[in-house]
Amino acid sequence: MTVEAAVSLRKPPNAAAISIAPAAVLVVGAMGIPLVFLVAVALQSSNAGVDAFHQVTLENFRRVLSDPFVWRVFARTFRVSALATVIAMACSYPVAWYLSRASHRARSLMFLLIMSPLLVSILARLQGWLILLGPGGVVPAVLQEIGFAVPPRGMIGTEAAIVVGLVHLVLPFGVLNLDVAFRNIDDTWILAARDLGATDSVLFWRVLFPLSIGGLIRAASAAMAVGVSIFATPALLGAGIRPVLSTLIYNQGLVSINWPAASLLAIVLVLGAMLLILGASWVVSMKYDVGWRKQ
Amino acid sequence: MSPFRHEHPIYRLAAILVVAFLLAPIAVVTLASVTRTSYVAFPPRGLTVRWFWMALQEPNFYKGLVTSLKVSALAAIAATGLGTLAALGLDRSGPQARSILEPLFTLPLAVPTVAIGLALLLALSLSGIGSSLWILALVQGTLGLPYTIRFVSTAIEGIPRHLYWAAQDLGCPPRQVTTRVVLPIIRPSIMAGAAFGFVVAFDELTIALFLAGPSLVTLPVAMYTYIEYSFDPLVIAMATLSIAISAVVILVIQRTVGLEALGR
Repeated sequence: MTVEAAVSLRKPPNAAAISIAPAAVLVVGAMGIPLVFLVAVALQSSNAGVDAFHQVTLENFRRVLSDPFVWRVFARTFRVSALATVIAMACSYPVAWYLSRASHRARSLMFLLIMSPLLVSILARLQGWLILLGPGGVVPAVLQEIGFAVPPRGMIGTEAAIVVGLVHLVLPFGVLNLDVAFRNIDDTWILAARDLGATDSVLFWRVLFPLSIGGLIRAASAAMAVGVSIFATPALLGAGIRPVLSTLIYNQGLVSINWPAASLLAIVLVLGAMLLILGASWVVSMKYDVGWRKQ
Repeated sequence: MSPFRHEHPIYRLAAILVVAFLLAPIAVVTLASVTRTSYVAFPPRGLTVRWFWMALQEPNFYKGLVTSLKVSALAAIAATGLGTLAALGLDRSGPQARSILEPLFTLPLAVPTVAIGLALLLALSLSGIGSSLWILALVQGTLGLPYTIRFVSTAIEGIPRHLYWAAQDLGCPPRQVTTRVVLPIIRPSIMAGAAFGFVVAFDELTIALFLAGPSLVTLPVAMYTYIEYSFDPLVIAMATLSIAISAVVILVIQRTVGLEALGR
């Protein structure tokens, strides 16, 4: 094929721009512009309208961030999502290893089973947990049987219930990300380590685990970002008595109608979630990407 | 057997336990929806389909279902149409444009929905525009956009270059290469994108809560507010119906691009 023919396959660049523009306008209009309002309202000290946008003040920052209740909510948000992330990673690690080496048939069946909960209504999944963890549910009954004191309302309204819900939510992401990482580990490296006399523990700690750290960080940060962001899970399993950042934003925005406080907290959440994702991918690309795949 | 052979039974056991954990609440909801008792019972006592009929006759759920079907259909159309166009455009863009646009199109996944919901509530009320079914549909369509773009982009990248050359050699003008070569090949991915865009909007709760009004109550919002007051077999039956709708969509995606595509 001649160069001219190759060039003429490409439409002129403005055609590409025209076809991308509607989607870009939609994202900017539905997400970008509203986020500007969020910042503007966070800089107000009270529920003022647009006409009051000239009075920019940090009073709201001082008031919200000096409230110990807010810090307790930050701490709980971090605690439940970190715990859920650790549990989810530990559970997905062996499953992802199995998946990464399984036959094509087994893989696609497992993916169907592991991914399909992501497509099932989150309210339906949470109702399942409300039944299992609630008063008279299977889980409190088992816990009581083995000697734990369980309150009459079951586990609903405890941090443990939120953690269970979050693990359920983020596990599929853990399996997916770790599967990608494991598939990047060439089987010949394992054979080479074996040939050089590596025992099981040396093979794991000196070869497999170091090669999976990048994927692990990626998976954990994605799970953590979902964990701190999700609203429905802590709202229903925390039963309104275990507020986390997302439920506090909802309450300040729609129940107490304290928009400046809600906006400030929402900005903290957005920055936190983005830092988790961007920070993790930066660390991974700097330190842990397998050398020859980087090029 | 070496513990690192994937055939080792420990991995199979872990996989079975994880799958059981993931499917447990879904199975429990489905089973609990047929109980004859008027309170939540698991395992269910007796067998009845009465709750399904009652759930569909409950005005809040019925209206919510109708609203959700409308909003989700519009959202799916918006996400699929604009996403396909964007994917076709991205394929023809240089690396510089892509490095700006690709992060922009992942923004809807990166920003927590509770922040998007609040931001939209502020923007729509302070600007005086107000909320409407169309706005909710467009916003929820935006949430599906990253997926439709990803599905279609992956399909376009998979088209062998020699098909373009063949079309060209046979005298097909460039514009028709898109309509007569590219589009037929990527059709399954477009359908998967539409299915996924629909289900994303159909299940979306948080933004819909912020934009809800007396005449704009989607099914998730109706179910959420119902559960806050009472948790009974009626709402469980409604949840089971929504699982059934998701199941259809899962099948469509599995048949077209495979669920693995969701993770890429």
